[in-house]
Amino acid sequence: MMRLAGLGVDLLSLARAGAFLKRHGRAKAQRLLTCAETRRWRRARFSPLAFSKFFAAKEAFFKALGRPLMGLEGFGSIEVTLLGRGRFRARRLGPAGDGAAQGRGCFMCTPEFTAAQVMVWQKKETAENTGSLREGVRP
Amino acid sequence: MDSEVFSKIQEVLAAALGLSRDEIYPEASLTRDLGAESIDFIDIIFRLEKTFNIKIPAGELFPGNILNDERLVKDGVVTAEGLRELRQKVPYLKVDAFAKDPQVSKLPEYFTVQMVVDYIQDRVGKNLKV
Repeated sequence: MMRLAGLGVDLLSLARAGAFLKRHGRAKAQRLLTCAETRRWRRARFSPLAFSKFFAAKEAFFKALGRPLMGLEGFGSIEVTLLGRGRFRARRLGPAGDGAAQGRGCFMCTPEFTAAQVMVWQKKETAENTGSLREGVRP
Repeated sequence: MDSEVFSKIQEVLAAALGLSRDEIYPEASLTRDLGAESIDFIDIIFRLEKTFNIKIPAGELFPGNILNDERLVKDGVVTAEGLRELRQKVPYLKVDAFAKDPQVSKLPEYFTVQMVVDYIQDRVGKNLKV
């Protein structure tokens, strides 16, 4: 049985994402993505918008779990699947350190920013039994 | 502190964070004092790799996943076991200072310029390339 573990929100400037990609290139950026995400990014012609979606979705997911900072390893441990209509699914890969956390979220995009918001669930026996939600919002 | 290494790190951080070099001082927290965000940490790692011609393994400089286990974090506070894990896995982090109020959400505040300098000096000194 799953329990709502937290909410997460992240906002990323498209200009920032584009500058990051321009400076470091695809090969480096792919260190933040799983193989499936890279294939999806390739289908989107390696666009900064698609990259920003993966980035923001992963950040939002991590914030929902109340973790301090993802780092390179954190990015690679979360897999985001872009669904239709501005929605996405996210899950942790590998050993279920967070009780097999899974998330469902959506994007809000403007010409300048990509925002992702996500609800994350965990297996009930491993989630904190506080009855309250953890909300992670980028200041 | 190796002045050449520090100077290069100042340049990297200033460029990554859009600051002037004299705003980068050893005790500065990357998040609290210099305004670094998540993408900045990745940017900094990649810039350091290029500047010093090294490969920084995931989790070695700015650890993200090491506090995944519920034994290490309880109700948003790092446990004694979690602090031991940090000391072992992140030797450049000032864990004693963090231990005074070990809220996991505040951990990034302890990622300082000095931490980066210590890590790079150690890597450059060992001349490691992964």
